[in-house]
Amino acid sequence: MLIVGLLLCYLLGASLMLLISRRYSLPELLGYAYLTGIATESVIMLLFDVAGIKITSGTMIVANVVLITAALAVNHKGIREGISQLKLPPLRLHNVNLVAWFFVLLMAWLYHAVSVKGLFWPATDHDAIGSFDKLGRIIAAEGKIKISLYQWNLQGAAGVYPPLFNAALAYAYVFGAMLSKIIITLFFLSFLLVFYSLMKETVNHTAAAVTTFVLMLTPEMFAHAALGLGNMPTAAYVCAGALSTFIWIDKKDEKYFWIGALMMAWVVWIRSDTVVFTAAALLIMAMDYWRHKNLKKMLLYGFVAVLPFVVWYLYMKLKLHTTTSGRFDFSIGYVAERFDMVWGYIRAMLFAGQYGSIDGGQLYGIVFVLFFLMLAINFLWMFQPKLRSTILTDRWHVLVFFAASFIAYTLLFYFIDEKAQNSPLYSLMESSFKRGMFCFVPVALYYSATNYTASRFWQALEKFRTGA
Amino acid sequence: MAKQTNKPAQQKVKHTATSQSSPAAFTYIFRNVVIVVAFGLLLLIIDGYNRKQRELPELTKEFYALRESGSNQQRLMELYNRIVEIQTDTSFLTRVLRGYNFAVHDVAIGGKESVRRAKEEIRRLGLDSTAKSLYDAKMNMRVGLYPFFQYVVQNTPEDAVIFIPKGDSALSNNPKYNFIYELEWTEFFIYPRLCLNIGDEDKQPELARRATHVMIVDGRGYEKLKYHIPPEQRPRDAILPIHQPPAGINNP
Repeated sequence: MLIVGLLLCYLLGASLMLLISRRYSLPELLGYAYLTGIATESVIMLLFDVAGIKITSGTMIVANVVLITAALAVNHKGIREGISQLKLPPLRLHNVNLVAWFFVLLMAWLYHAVSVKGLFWPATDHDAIGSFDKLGRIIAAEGKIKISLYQWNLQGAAGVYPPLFNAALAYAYVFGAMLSKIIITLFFLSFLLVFYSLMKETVNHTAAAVTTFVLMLTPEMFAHAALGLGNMPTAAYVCAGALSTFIWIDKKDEKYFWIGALMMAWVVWIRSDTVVFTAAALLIMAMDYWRHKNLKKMLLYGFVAVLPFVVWYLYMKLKLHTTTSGRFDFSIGYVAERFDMVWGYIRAMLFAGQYGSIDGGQLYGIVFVLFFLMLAINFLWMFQPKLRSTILTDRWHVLVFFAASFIAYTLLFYFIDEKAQNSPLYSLMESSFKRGMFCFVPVALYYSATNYTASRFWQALEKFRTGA
Repeated sequence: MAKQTNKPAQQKVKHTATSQSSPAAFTYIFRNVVIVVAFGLLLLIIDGYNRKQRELPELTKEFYALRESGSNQQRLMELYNRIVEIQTDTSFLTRVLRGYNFAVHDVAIGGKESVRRAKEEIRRLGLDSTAKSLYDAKMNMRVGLYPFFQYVVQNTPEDAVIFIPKGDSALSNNPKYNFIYELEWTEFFIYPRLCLNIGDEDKQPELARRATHVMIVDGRGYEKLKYHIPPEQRPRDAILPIHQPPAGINNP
C-alpha cells in the first residue's frame, strides 16, 4: 500500500511540474516530482482538515487520481509532444564522463549505506518523538491536521510549524507504513538530484558531480539523512528555490522562474522561520526588477512565494488559535553578552572554529571555509583593472541572498524570547540554529563552484578531460 | 530560418563525433582516468589523515581496561600520551577534515554495521515474526524506557489520564529515564492516553480532574495517590491508579 501512495505522490508531483515545463532530464524530474508531490499531499490534507473530510488512504487516493487526471488532461498535448521529443543521449565514448560517474558511484554507495541505516531504525531523536513523528502518527490515526493533542498542549514544538513535514510523515502512516523514514530517505535523494540538476545548469557535469558529492558528505547533514528531523528536507526546498531563482535571474528562463517561486512557496510551507529565505529571494528579485523593470514577474513571484505563509498564519489564528509572534522579544535591543554569544557561535560555524559544544569543522566540513576562501580569492582579482567589473557583478545575487538571509536568520535567534521558547539561547544556538545552517550549505556551495575563479578552474579541468 | 541555419552545424558535429579514431578514444579515456585517479588519491589522503581519529575509540577502550586491571603502567602511559595527542590536535586541517571521518566511517560504514548486528540479534531472538514485534524489538534497542511504556500501556485503559512527576536535576541527569518528565515526549509512547505533570493542576484543571493514574518514576509520585502504600512495598517505577489500590502492584 505504501508503494501505491509513493507512486501517486511522484505522479502528482511530476504531472504538476510538467505544467511548468516539459524540458526536464529524468533525475531533475524525479527530484522536483517528489518535492512538489509530497508538498501537494500536505496541501490536500490541510484542505481535507478544513472541509471536515477524514484523511485516509482512500480519500487520499481519490484526491490524487482526480488531481493527476486533471493536470494531465490540461497538459495532454504538451506531454505527448514532450514524450515524442524524449531522446536518450547517444551512447558514444565521448559522452561518458568518467569523472562524473566516479563521483556518482561514490554517492550511490554512500546513499545506500545511509539509507540502510535510516530505513531500519525508527525515528528516536528527541524532537522526532516529541514532535514530528508523533504528529505524523496521530494525524494518520485521527485523520485530521488539528489532532486532539492541541486541546491539551501536548502536540510538541512542531505543532506550530506549517504542515508539510508532519503531513509528509503522516502520508507514510496513512498508507500503512510502520516507520516514516522512507519520507526522509526520499527527501535526501531529491535534494541531491535537484542540486545536481541545478548545478549542471551553470557548470559542467564534472563540477556538478564533485560539488554534489561535497554537499552530500557535509558531515552533520549526512547524519540527518538517517534521522527523523525536518532540517534536511527544509534545506532541500531552500536549495531548489534559491538556486532556481539564481538561474532565472541569470538566464531569464521561464521554467526556473516558476520552479523558483513554487519551491520558495514550499520553503514557508515546511517551516515558518524560513521566511528569511523567502524575504532574501524577494530582495534579489527586487534588485533584478530595478535592473530589468519587470514588475509583473516580481509581483507574481512574491505572491506565489508568500501565499503559503499567509495561509498557515490564518489557519493557526483561526483554527489552532495560536501564533508564533509571541516567541520573539524585539525589545531586547543591543545586549553585549547576548551579541557576543551569538557571534561566537556564528564564528565557530562559519570558520570551522569551536564555541561552547559547537565544532564548526566537524559539523559542516569545508563548506563555509571554501565559501569564504573563494570570496577572498575573487576579491584579489579586483586588483586587476580589466576584471574589476566582472568580479563586482559575479554572482552578486547569490552573495546578496546569502548575506541577507543569514543576517535575518541570526537576528531571528538574537531576538528569540527564551522564556516563551522554554530554552536558553545557548541551547537554541547549539540545536535549532546549528541545524538551520543546512539551508545555507547548498547556497554556499553553489557560489563556491560557480564563481569566476571556480569557473576558470572547472573550464581548465574540462579542457584537460576532453582534450578539446 | 533558424532551423535551416542550425542544421548544417549539427551535421558537422555528428560527423566529427563519429569519425573519432581509436587513439583519440584512448587519449580521452586516459585523461578521464588521470583525473579520477587524482580525485581518488585526494580522497584517500584525506581518509588517511583521519586515521588517527578512528584509533581513538580503541585506544580509549584499551586505556580504561588497563587502568581497571592496574597492569602494564608503561603501556598505560603510552596510551594516555597518544590519546592526549589526538584529542589536542586542533590544527585547522584536522578540524575541517575530521567531520568527513564521522560521515563515512561512523554514519555510513558504522551505521550499516550496526544494522547488520541488530538484524542478527533480532533474528536470533525470533523477534521478527510480525511487523509489530520487529518494531518493538527495534524500539527496545533504541529507547531504554520502551519496555516501561509498554507496561504502562498494558496496564491502563485508552482513556486514562496519567500524572507524571516533573523533571528535577536528579531525574533529568539520570539517562535511564530519557525524557520521561517531558509530557510531549512521553505522549508519543502512551497515546491515546493523556498526561500532565504533577504540580501543573492549575494549568490543566480539566485534565487534573480527569486524572486516573500516576506514573511512579524513580520513587516519585506517591503523594498523588489517594491511598497509602507502605514504603517497603513501593516499587521504584510503576503505573498506579489514583483512587483505589491495585489488586496486586504490577512491577514493570
